[in-house]
Amino acid sequence: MTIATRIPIIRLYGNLIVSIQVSLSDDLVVALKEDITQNIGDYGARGLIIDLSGIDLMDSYISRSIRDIALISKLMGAQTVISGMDPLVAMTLVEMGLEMNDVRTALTLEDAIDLLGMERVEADDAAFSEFILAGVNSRTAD
Amino acid sequence: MLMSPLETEIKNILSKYLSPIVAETVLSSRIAASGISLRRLRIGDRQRLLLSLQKGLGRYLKPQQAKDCMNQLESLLNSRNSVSAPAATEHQKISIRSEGDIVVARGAGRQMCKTLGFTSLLQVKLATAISELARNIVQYAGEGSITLHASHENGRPYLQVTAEDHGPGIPNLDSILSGRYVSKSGMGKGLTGTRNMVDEFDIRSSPNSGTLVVIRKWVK
Ligand SMILES: Nc1ncnc2c1ncn2[C@@H]1O[C@H](COP(=O)(O)OP(=O)(O)OP(=O)(O)O)[C@@H](O)[C@H]1O
Ligand SMILES: [Mg+2]
Repeated sequence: MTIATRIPIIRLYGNLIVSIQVSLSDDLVVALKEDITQNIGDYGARGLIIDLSGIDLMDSYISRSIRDIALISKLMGAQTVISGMDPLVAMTLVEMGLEMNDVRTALTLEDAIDLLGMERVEADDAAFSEFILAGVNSRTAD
Repeated sequence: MLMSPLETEIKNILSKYLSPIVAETVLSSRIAASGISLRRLRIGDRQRLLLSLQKGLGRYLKPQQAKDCMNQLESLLNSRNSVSAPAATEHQKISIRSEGDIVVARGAGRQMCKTLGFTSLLQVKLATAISELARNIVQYAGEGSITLHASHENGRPYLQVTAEDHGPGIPNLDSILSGRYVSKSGMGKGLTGTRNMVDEFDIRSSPNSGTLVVIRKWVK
């Protein structure tokens, strides 16, 4: 069993990608919520992809945790797409009555990227948005 | 000593008519009296065993009950001629105190499901059910246990999962089971979802003794 203390978050063209490969514990979920909100705030991400292709079981606790993360992200202006859910896991969630109606889903990571309309951000634009963000941050800090 | 598969099946039938202790006593004394080995049945052993059990049952059951019970035993033993013996009974008790134990319990459950021959969908469903029951123990009772029991009845294998704790019990059980319940601490789908996924679901809860959930799923 892999013992992870944090789940890495990848920043990509204005979006965040998280791939969950371990069984989520309470501590991991708390850390992940913190890290994602922090990243959305710092980076101004508009989209969040949570890839679940490494998960072979989701109980009500895990599915609720993922839904919570999606809701928090939405409040911060980032749209969440869940990708790669194992078909057997999906069938089980439905039978449990745990379908995630309020979260967008995609079959694969590629589909999720398409869904978010992810495009390569030109270097200049990236620098510009960083400049703007820096301004915003320093203003709110005052 | 571990019971042979056949012995377990006979005991299961006897337990429908007798209390578990009496069933076990009758069975072991009758096996001893007839001098046969259930692991290696020789010609004529089936008949000897049936006759011996019949004598034993006569002491505890009314004639009609004894007859019903004997019919079941007879069809069990006759079916043994043709079917190959299913895997032996397996039994595993896991203490549940922390999140790590939840992972251990559902992993062990999934492994047992695989051995029993459940489809991969049912493996996921049962492991999920175990996860729900184990998590409820950690969340609401603090500690308890999950017992996994793989066995078979009339040649049909099943997995039975017992979740037990001595926590505060569930006061509003009826509203939870009817699906009207809105949980403060979760989605309130753990118990009803688990019930949906299994063949048999039994729950007992009281503030004095805690909560006991027994579920069973048959391999079709
Ligand atoms: N072992 C237990 N001991 C005491 N109370 C329990 C136990 N199991 C469940 N409960 C109570 O029953 C309620 C319903 O449990 P159930 O598992 O169905 O939903 P939940 O735990 O609230 O949410 P979910 O499982 O969907 O995350 C719980 O909110 C809790 O109050
Ligand atoms: Mg629960």
